[in-house]
Amino acid sequence: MIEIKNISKSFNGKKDVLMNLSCNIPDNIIYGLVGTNGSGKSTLLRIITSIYKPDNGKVLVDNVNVYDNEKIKKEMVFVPDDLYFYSGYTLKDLASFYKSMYNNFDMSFVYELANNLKLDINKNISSFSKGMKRQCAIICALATNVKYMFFDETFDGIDPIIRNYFKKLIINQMAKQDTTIIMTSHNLRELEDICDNLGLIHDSKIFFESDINSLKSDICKVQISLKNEFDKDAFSKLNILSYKKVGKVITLIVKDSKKAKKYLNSLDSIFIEFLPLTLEEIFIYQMEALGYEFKNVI
Amino acid sequence: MNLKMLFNFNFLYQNFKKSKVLLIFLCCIIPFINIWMIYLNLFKNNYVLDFIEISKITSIIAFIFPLILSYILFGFLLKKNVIDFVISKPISRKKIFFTNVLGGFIIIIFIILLNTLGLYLLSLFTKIFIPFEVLLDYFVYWLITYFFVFLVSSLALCLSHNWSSFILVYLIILLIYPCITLINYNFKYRNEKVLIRCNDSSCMPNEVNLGNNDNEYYYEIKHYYSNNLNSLINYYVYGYKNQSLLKTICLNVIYLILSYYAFKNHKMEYSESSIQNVYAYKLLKFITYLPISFICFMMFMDSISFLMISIIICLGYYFVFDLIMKKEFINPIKTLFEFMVVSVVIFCSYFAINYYYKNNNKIIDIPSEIIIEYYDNILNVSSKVLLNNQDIIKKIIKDNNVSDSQNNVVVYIDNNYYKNYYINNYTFQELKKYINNNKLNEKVTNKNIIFITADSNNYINIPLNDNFLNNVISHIDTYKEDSYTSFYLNVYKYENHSLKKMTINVGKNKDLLNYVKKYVNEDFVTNFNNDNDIFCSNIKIEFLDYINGNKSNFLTFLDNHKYDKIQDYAIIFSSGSCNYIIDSKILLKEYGDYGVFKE
Repeated sequence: MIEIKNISKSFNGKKDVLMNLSCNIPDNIIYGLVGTNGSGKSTLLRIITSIYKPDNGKVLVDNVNVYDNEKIKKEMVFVPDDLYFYSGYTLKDLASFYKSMYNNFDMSFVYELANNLKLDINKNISSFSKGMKRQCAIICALATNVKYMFFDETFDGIDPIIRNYFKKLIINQMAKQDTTIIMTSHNLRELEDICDNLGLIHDSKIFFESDINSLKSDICKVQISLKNEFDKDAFSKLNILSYKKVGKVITLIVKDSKKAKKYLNSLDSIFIEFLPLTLEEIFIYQMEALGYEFKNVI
Repeated sequence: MNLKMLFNFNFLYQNFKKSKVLLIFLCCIIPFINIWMIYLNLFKNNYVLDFIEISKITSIIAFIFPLILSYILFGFLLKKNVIDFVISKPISRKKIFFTNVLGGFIIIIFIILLNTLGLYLLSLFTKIFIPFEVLLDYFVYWLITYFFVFLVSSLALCLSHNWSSFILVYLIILLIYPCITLINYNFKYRNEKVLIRCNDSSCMPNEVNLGNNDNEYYYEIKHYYSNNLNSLINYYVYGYKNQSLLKTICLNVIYLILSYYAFKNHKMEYSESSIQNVYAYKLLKFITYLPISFICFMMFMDSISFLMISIIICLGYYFVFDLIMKKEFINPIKTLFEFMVVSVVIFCSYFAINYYYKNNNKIIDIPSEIIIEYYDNILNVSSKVLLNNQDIIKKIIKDNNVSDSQNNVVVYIDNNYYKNYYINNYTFQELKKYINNNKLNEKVTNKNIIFITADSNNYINIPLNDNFLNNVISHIDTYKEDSYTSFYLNVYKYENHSLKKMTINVGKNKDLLNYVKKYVNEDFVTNFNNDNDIFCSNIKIEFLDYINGNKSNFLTFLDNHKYDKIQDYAIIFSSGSCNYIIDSKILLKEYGDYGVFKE
């Protein structure tokens, strides 16, 4: 299990990027980390993978402090958003490098995937396209067979077909090796497909974390029209993220959907409809509720 | 100790692999350039090469190669995505650091070894002779110096987050000490008056008289220092004899420890950004401003007409520094104000130091030993000799007659001061007599002689042989200067990390002369008989006089005259790579008509 305890990190002594951030990531799940630009997702991944040293707090992996701990790092692999490969290296060279670093590295897996994805293992990686470079990085990461894998902007630049292929591979990997995978992406549709849990970083903290199903069932969209005259106060008992009234029809985004359904059904309504939300909609409404919106800009 | 605790050899291998092209290129090109440049200078210099002569290219590369090497190994610290790639791998910071340092050391050892081997081969297959002791010194000294520069640049990289700050920190660490020394020396040597005290009644008051006592006089001497930029480079390169390698090794250890802690605590998140700490930034700016302002101060002191240009240079630098380091001008008004304050402080300090040295007369007593440089008319060279005879020292210092310019000697004191003295004939003869005797006292044995050359206009290398050496050494005692000489033996020995040359006038001693001729001729006959492809484009016959011949004449001549006729020999030098011994009577017959050959 990954335990993140009161992590704080600031750059240039200015505002904290992360402040007293704590969360626990259980084993054998795919954890999606979301947040706005500059919210600290990549910084958190870099702290967990021991690239950055936190100003305060610590990260424990299997109850051991991860910072500069070679033994724990042997069980971790990180694919950053901005990829780098040694100049002149081919996929074969890169795989050899990973093999020399990770005990359980599976070379045959690399050959197999390279073959399936039509990647020339003897071709210089620098001559590959952006998407192909990312494929190389993900292939090598998956071939390490480590317990913890971290992907930053996982599928950036990869076409939808190969993206789906990698999603399946990641799910298989998790099932096969009991791997814990943490990934960030701005494409919430992607995370929705494969993540078990989701954490939202906002204002230097984890604003909420939950498993995807609970999250989706907990928040719902309601369209309702009441017989009597009413205003927003009529719904004051509900935890409302968004309220819009067009004529007599009100659109609500409410949290705690069970309680909301019970309450709204009890009202004397002309019609009422409960609609499920996509993860992306949940994220947008959550962020709007937190004051992060740009609708007035355009 | 388990080496795996400190090093990761897989990582080391990958480090070499990723930069193999550059490393192979450097490992080939550096020894090649070094050896080629030495070879090109072959005919301009002595055939017997000293440490300094074989170190010229190596010394320049010493500032560049370790810098490139440390960038290859630690350069990832300057790029965010490379940091992600390297640091996220399962290898501790400690191991990354020590593995990279080990990698750097291995490459340095390899390249210095290649250079040394190249020099050895050059010595083996050409007429150049580089004594083994010189090669050993070369290997040890440059190994430690390259380690030093590598560790300095690694430390600079561990302290920096982008290119410009890396180069700046590297230059500061490497040059701060010699630079401050240079500034101090300049102030001191331009202004300070150094006087030798002389309270003997025989002193001639022809210099400076500062004493209240009428019997106390002072002779002014000058600081011995060359005020040029080379001095900065020379501090590391040619200061070899004056510097303890132990000091450099200690500095290496200190820099290694500092680099380790700097690397371990390196803030990876700041890579690609400029210096974060405001005070550190201002300190670096101040340090780099010192030499710039000093040069401007010196220009201004030389001529007031440089005032404006000095101000422009200083002001320009103060703004350009921000532009280079921060890629922007930081608040011009604030910078201008800061410039004025800093400049006033620095220039006032310069004026104060200047004033201090100008009014500070240093008085020293007549030294117990001096180094004296005099011109040797016989050998046509300027010779330096350590003199510790108080009587002669006093005589030279007191007997300073400017009108007699024939007997000019330069006296060096404490490696710091020098003065030209013009001494009378009597003192000069006494000095030379003392020097001759002093030379005789030098212990020359067949054990410490490492090389012998026969010397006239060209060199001929004489193979070492115990009997020959013993014979030569037995004649060293008879060394006497003569007004005429045509043939010398140069005897080399290696002492205190430098090649020492002693010249023996062979022409003075008939026995030695015949012995040397016979010895060299026998060597020639052996070589000539074994080599059918001898080619000599330019032949010079030495010992009696010069005869220039061409290839065909010479070869015809050799064909017609077999060696069984040889009674008396001359020694023939060539500007190519061979030497021959010819019967001087045959030569006389063949070339005498040309009137260039005289017995």
